[in-house]
Amino acid sequence: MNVNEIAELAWRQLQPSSVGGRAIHLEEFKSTAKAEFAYQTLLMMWKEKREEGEYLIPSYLLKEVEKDVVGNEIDISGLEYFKSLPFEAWLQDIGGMKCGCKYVKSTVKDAKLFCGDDSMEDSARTYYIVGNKIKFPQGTHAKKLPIIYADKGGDINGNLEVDDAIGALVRQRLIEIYGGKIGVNDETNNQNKTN
Amino acid sequence: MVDCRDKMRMIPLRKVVAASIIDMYGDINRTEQKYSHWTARGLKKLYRESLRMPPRRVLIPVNKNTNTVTLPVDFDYETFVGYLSNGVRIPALNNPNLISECTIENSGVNLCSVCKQDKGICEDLNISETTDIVQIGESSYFETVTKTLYPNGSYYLEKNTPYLNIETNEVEYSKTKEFIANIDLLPCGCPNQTPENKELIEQVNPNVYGCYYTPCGCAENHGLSYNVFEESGLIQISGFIPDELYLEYNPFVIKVNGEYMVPEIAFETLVEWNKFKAIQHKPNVTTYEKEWQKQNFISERRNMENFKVSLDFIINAAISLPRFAFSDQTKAT
Repeated sequence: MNVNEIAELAWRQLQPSSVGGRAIHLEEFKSTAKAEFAYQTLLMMWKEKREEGEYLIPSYLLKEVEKDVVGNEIDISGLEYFKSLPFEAWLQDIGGMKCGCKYVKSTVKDAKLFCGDDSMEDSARTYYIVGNKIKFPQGTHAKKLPIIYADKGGDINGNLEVDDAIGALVRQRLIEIYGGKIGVNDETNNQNKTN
Repeated sequence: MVDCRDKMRMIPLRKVVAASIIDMYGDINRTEQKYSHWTARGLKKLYRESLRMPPRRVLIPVNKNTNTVTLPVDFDYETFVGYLSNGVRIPALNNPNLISECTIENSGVNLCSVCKQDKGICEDLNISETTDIVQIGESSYFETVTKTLYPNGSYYLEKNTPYLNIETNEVEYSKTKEFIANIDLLPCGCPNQTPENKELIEQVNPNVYGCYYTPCGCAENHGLSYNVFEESGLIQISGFIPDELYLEYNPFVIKVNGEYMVPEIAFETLVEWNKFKAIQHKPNVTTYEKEWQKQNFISERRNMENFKVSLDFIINAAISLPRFAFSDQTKAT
């Protein structure tokens, strides 16, 4: 089930009639659903971290893509990555799982602190993210690098697939948010709920 | 000190990092760099305080122009210096009197630009003065004796002797000039380094000869000798000069194929060290928890230090144990 379907389900539950001129437009429901989905994912992440000590990004969200390295930088402006995850956890790996070329995630602050630090292997390269660019201060081994990242989960129609459990939470939240809100007057002729 | 005999049982530092992250349920992307840094620091700390580095063995090319060898970057101190001959290592003699000119900051030697001799020879031969005290009446005067080398090689003894002029009743000086020898000079004005010339200089001016032509108190050189100059990163060698110097030394920290290697016995100690460092200065961690983790590290380190006991130690301990002799009478009772 995708977020749009969840939103539509909740919308119909609140306003069962399918005729146009609704109290709250469906598009607003969808936007709220997307935002709520991101929030619920974050809550689940924190809960798992509290209880299990770690959070693993669901595998259905992970995507692998090969990107060109230009001037020791990778442009990620075209990636639909999951920004809601804290600590930039959306970026899972660069370089792939094979040994030999190792890329270690860093930050702008750590890149300055660890400048000259020789504790890691000589073959390791660090990278950090600045806006829509991934920068490699020590360069890269190749001109194209695979990136594994957490995608938003959207399909080609822009539908975001969600975990069923999170989907239920999102639907419930939508009903909590919008249930009981007073709708606009029925403008259609001889059409109302009681008929 | 732990005797780290099992130099083959070394594991990459990154495995310690991975184990630490696993134990802490950490996110490798967030913590790998920090944990690597802490592990390296912990490893160097253990080497300084507890572990003994397994020695490294290297063959280093000799610079035949300067008879020097560059020390490896991780050189701490040498355990053997020599060369290899048919698979056998031949030791070199340590000669602390061996000097490397590369290490001399300001030799103060002014060399002739033509013949590269020390110009001091010329200067000291040119004017070499001695003085004697001469008593005239109740006063003392100096009689100067100067040996002067002229540009044509003539070496003269010039005496400046005070005397009392009876007519004027004043002390005056009489100068006498006596030819000593003719020293063979090069066109640049420096003495020619022929054996005959040196012998002549030894006769006419033993001081100059002793200062410039005699060796300065060296030990006898049996084959290859060496001296280590850590400040300049060189080993100076003399005597028999091989193409490559064989060096065994204790390094600071081992980096093999571009990565640090950790002795296996130190693995758990370093993992606990990392876990302690990860929370040591975190504000949301209680003092109790920090202290608990610190004690875990100390405990593992103690286990590491007690783990390796050498066979020699066991034998010596057995030998030093007191022996109790039981007589038959004692047994009977």
